Parts: sequence; structure tokens; C-alpha cells
Amino acid sequence: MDIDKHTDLMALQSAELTERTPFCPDDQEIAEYYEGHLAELEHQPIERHLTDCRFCLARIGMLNRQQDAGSTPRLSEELLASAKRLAHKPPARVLKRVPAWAAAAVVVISVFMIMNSRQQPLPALGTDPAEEISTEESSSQLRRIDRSVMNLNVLNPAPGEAISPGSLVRWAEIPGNIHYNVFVLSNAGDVLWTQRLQGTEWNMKEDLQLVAGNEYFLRVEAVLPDGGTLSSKHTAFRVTDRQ
Amino acid sequence: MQDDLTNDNGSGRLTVDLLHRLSSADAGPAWVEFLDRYSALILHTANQFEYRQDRSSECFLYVCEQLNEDGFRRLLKFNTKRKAKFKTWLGTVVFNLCVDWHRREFGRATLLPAISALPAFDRVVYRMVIEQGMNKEVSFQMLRADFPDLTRELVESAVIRVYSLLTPRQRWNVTIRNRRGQLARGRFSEDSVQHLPDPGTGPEAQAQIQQDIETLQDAMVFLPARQRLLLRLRFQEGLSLRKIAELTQLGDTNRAWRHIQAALKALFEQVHEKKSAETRKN
Repeated sequence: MDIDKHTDLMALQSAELTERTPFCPDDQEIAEYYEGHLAELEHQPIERHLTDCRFCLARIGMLNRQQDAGSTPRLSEELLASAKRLAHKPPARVLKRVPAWAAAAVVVISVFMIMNSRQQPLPALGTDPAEEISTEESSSQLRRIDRSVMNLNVLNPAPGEAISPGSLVRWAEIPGNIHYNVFVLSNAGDVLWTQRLQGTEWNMKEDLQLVAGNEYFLRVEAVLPDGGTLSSKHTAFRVTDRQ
Repeated sequence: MQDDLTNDNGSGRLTVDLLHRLSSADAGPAWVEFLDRYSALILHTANQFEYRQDRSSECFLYVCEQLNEDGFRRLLKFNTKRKAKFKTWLGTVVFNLCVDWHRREFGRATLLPAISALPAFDRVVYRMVIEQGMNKEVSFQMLRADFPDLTRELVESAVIRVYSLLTPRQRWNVTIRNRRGQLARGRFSEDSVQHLPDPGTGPEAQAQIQQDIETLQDAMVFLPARQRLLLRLRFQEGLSLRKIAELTQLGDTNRAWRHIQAALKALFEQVHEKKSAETRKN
């Protein structure tokens, strides 16, 4: 490894962020540190913290990129207009001025509604989506699931595995009424084949005409009821001659 | 991007006025003014998380919604009596919100999207222009065989997109290597960037990169905290020597450069030691 490679690798490992912790300096402190306003006594603890906090280091890096941004990014009129319209929503602080009796009434009604909703059984996860739950129900179900713990993993083939035409491709199920888009990509990243599927298995068709020995990539994308997507990593595989 | 007028305590008159109007009953015009002044900052930050325009637009709107929420509660938290400028403080707030959005959407937050996340056409441009060092005209001529509708403007815009994803340090490496190439060839040429990690490589090369990163991380642990910080500011975050000297109170850029070189040397030695130990073990 030469020095340039070391430094490039350091840039590569910077991509994923860690969680913000209660020990992280607040926004005002970070801004003051960045602008050099802190006294020695306040400066040193922040510097010590930055050494090994990926999140705060990224905040400093981002401030640097924001200040160095040469050109102004192009903002569409439509997007800006959508953002401007947000102000027309009534501000929440208006609620602070409502009489106490109205606030009490809201609390009573909310408690009543929550108790009512608990009496309706929730559909079980993993049941046949087409029969058991509507799209709307499954959407609310998914909202209850912490997306940060959901991973869409390709189970078969394993990364780098050589498989024969007609092999079974499988991936982990994501609960809810969803469908999957499966993509086969060439080594250059071109999509060679794609299909929408309901299940979590697919028989790799022989008519795909993948060349034996070449490397391909498989990606599965789960389309969630609320329109969001969850994507697997690209899984590399090779194709062997039919035995 | 318009900045605010700054007085002694860092909070400009315009900012104080803007925040005051945002806290009033008729905050609409103040919000529009806020967006006119800072929407570019918000979008620029969103773009650091998302390459795809539709997603960075979603992120932008999410940030705006959150800033708007509860009567601009987040914006009104800014302490005008302290020294930081509003724009710098807002930068960190927007960053936090972008991280929230990314975690909410994808379960994790990742900065600087890899070149591998680019569309196929951009990756071809990356390989030709950055890796193989072809100039834009040659790349255009070669690509036209596969993309009959291609224009020089499309190649140009793809190059800009790809460059925007490189860290400042990587861009600097591109420049230096180009210059070395020119000297070696005695003529103008955009030299290849052989050492930039190749995001399009196969699993073996990816595994090797991952192994090298792990070796590097292990070696970093043995460096003094100060050296770790210097290396991270310089090579992970791409800060200039001037900014590093300022942040770490090293005084001037020459001193910062010498400290960074010493840290690199120490790191290099650690990596060699680790590699030798591994070789002996095997």
C-alpha cells in the first residue's frame, strides 16, 4: 500500500455514520468550534471528542463543504414553491392559546379513541397478504415496524457463488403486503432483466442467456405499501455451464 | 449563497430580525425569505446524502417540514447571544435532519454516495475520464458508438456529477496525477487516477479493499489521538491545511502540513508492522 492508497482508503471508510450520542456537543458548540470562537478550556474536550466520533467529525466535514460550496445547487421552482407553501399550515403554537377546557376535551377524546382502537385485533405479521390485510392496514403495520432493523438480504446465491442456469434465487421476506422487483445486472451495471414478483423466490430463467463464466449482479427491491422501497445489496454471482 | 450581516456576537441584524418575524403570528413572509436565503444550503447538504434528484428533493422537503414544525421551534432555538453565525449553526441543524431522514428512509445514514451508486452511463464516464484519463472529447467520440443520441453537454454534465462525488482530497489527487502525467508525456493529457479505489471492481477486489480498510483502522488505533484527528480531518473530511491549522490551533499551514506528514509516516509504519505480523503468522 502506498501513501496515496492509504489516504484514499481513509476517504472510503468515511461513508457510514455512527449514531449521535448524549456526549456529542450541541449544534451551537460545534458551530462555535468550527468558527474558532471557543476558549482553550472548551476547545480541548471537543477536540478529544472529535478524534473518535464519526458523527461529529462528519458534522465538521459537512460545515466545511457547505462553506466551500463553489456553485449554488439548482433548485427547481416547483420544489421551492412546495417548501414555501409549508408556511401556510397553521403554526402549532396556536394551540397554546386555546382554553384549558378545550385541551382537556382533546385529551378525553384521544383516550377514548385509543381505547377503542385497542379492541380491534391487529392482523398477524406474515399472513397471506392478499387475503388477510388491505394495503392500508399493512401500511400502518409497516409504520409500526422500525425500518432501521429491516434488512432485505439475498439468501441465495451467496455473494460470489457460481450457479447454474435455472437455479433458485431466494431472499428474506419483508412483512406486509408488498411486492418485490428483481434485477439482474451486468458487470457494467446495465440492467439485463427485471421483473415484479410477489413471493420471495425466483427460478432464474434459462432464457436469460447469461454467459457462463461472466460475473453478474442481483438486486432485490421491496416496494412497501407507503411507496417507499427497501433494497438489498448487489450480490455478485457467476454462471456456470449447464450440467 | 447570501450570508447574514455579522456583528460582534456573530448573530447578524438580519438574522435577529428574521427570527423575530418567524416567531410572530404572520410568519409566512419570513419563512419565504428564510428559504430565499438558505434553501441552497439545505439542498447542498441533502445532495451530500443523495445522488438521485428525486430523493434529495424529498430530503430537502423533509428538512423544510421539520424546520417549519411547531412554529419554527428548531430555528428559534438559535441563541443570538452566542458567537456562532446563524448560517454555520443552521448547517449543523440541517445536517442532523438529513441524517434523520436518511435513517428513516434507509435504516442507516451514509454520506458521500459511492460511485457504484451512479447510473451505468455515469459509471462509464467515471471509468473513462477519471480512471483511464481520457479527455472529454475522446470519451465523447468513443461513447457515441454506444449512445447515438449523446451530446458533448451530456458528457460534460456526467463528468461534473462524478467529480462532485469525489472528496476534495481525491480531486486533489486527480490534479496532481494529471500534472505528473503531463510532465512524463511532455504534452497535455489527463492522466489516469490509478490509485483511486475502483468502485466497479468485482468481489475479490472489493474484499481486498475491505481488508485494507480494516488494517488501516487497526493501525489508526495505535496512533496518538492528535494524529488520528489530523488524519481524519485531512483525509476523511477533506479539510484544507488552513482550516485544519485553525481548528487544531496549530498556527499556520506549514506546521499543520508537517504534523500531518508525521502522522502519515507513523500510520504507514503501523500498517507495515501489521502486514509483516500477518505474513509471519501465515
